[in-house]
Amino acid sequence: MTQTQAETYQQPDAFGHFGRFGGQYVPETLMPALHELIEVYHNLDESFWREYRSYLKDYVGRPTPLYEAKRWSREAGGARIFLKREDLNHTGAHKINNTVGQILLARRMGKTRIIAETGAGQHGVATATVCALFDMPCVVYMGAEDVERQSLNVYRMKLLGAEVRPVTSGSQTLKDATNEAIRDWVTNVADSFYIIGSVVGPHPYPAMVRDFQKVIGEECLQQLDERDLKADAVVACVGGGSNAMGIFYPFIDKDTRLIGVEAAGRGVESDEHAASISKGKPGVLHGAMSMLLQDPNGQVALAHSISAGLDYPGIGPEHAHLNDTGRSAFVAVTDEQALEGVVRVSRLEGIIPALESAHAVAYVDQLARTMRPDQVILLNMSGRGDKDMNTYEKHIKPGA
Amino acid sequence: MKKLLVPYLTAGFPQREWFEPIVRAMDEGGADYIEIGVPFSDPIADGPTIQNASQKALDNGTTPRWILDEIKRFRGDLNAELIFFSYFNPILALDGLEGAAKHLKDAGFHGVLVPDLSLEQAEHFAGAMAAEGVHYIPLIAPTTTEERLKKIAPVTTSFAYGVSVTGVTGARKGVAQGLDEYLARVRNLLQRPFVVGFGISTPEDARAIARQADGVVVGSALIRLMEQAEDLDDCVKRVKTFISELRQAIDE
Repeated sequence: MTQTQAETYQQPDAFGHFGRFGGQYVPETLMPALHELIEVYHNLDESFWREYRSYLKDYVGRPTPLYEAKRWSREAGGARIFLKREDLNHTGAHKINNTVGQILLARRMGKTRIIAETGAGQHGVATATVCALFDMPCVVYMGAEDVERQSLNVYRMKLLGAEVRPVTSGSQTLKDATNEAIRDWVTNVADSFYIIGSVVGPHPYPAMVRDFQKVIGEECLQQLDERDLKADAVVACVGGGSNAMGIFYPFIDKDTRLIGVEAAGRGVESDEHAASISKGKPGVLHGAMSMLLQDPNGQVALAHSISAGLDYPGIGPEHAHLNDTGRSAFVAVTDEQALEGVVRVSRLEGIIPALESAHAVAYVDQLARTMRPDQVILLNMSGRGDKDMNTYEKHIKPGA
Repeated sequence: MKKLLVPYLTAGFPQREWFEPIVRAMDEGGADYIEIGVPFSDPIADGPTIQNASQKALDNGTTPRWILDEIKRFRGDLNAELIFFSYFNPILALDGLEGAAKHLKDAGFHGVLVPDLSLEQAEHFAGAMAAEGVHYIPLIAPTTTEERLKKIAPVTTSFAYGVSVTGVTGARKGVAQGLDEYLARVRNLLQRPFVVGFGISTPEDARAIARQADGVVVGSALIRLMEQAEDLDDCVKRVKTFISELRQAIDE
């Protein structure tokens, strides 16, 4: 991207459009609340950001390290691989950067009740955590299937004092949990704040969540600078896309390749994947126009990924836009490749990644060998694998 | 002015073969407009009753194109006007907005109502529909401010749909509190008629609402009636009777 283009990157527009994507596709009942949110969000003063940064530092544990994975880089035999250690955040993933920001906002707006949706449970845990911290009642909607496969996170949320409501409609995963959270929000809009967990939903959520996550990329820029390095490629997994948007955004005006890794599930040529960019069409789900897995009649298709956090048929509208303009590239990695990625980085670096992040690991493993040893890949290690031990135990034989 | 009676059904529920007979029963019972609900996989504005009906209809193989073909086939001798009630994505999938507008016109729809299309996103949509003579029916909620009502008024070309409560569709006991002030506000700022729906489940509810609005929409209560029906004849009878009772209640 040339400097001139970079300087003009001002997204979204006043109505929340990123090119042809984004916008506000929600029931009229919610529109006044969204306008209020936009108004408050755009007029936050420095004291808000000071408070936000102080919680990120003292409570979340930021800045997270930028770690050079030397053994893995050597084994891969190409570029130098650096890991942005979001897995070391309090609660084990990047999700808490956003929930800290949103709950501070909810408090400023005088809201007294918090709603959230969750897939893998990481956003649910991060929301339950800040609700405990600020003494707010918290209801988390979670697909019944995800409640099953992420039982440890369900327990964590309950221990933190949140109410977890299993959702049994539709595919019983993140998509349906989000539907139910929106229904709760429509019903209780006067006193409830909906903490959305990714760069999805109606304007201003995609931009706001990005802004609460961009600290990831900003720290990377500084940490690379301290080493006198520049990133040639930034790689992150993409479900809704908040960890990816958070690390990409500060690099948009740089000469750096940005690569999002979608979940190919059992393969993008099968019917069981979650590759919205690779296989979707423009469509509206959960308040925004974006790329969406759907059938020819506009019914939303069921996504599949071994990773609950990527098991979503849509993607954040800004990603769809960056794909349109060619600023970002999107690739897809299968369940099997992701599991291989788990083993690789566990054995070579002593870091057990979350299944979601393992998708990015698997792609970086291929990418690194196509690059030179003086080149740098930045990988967002968005979460740790503790929550996935049941899945790993089932699919990965120790010693194998 | 005569009060408007606007029943809703989910097309293809409980069976596709029941679609035409149920629409006819509503028409004969005295409906002014019939909302033809197009099932969607993710109906965020609907409560459990219509969610369930939508899922069943989809499982039955109901598609927007099948609905259009059916309506085109039998709408000729109906007295009631028809409203296409759908979420945005299935409409978009009908060959884009311009394409969808042509399809709706060809099938003979009077208007279109989209619960997840905000006024902010509706300009292009309403324009495309108007170009084919299909009315965009805007929604109004209890949270709608006067400022927004002033923007909704000029784009209302047929009638507007006022949501009675903050919440999703579904039968509730009694009518929401604080409704009087809200409906008075709508009445003041809207030049066109407005009907009120969400949670209206009995002739008593309908009668109370009709005193303050130009008409009522009844949905989930009808779906529940269809769920309870023993067979098609029983369903048609129950629907027709219920519609007549609603008609009588609002005409009093």
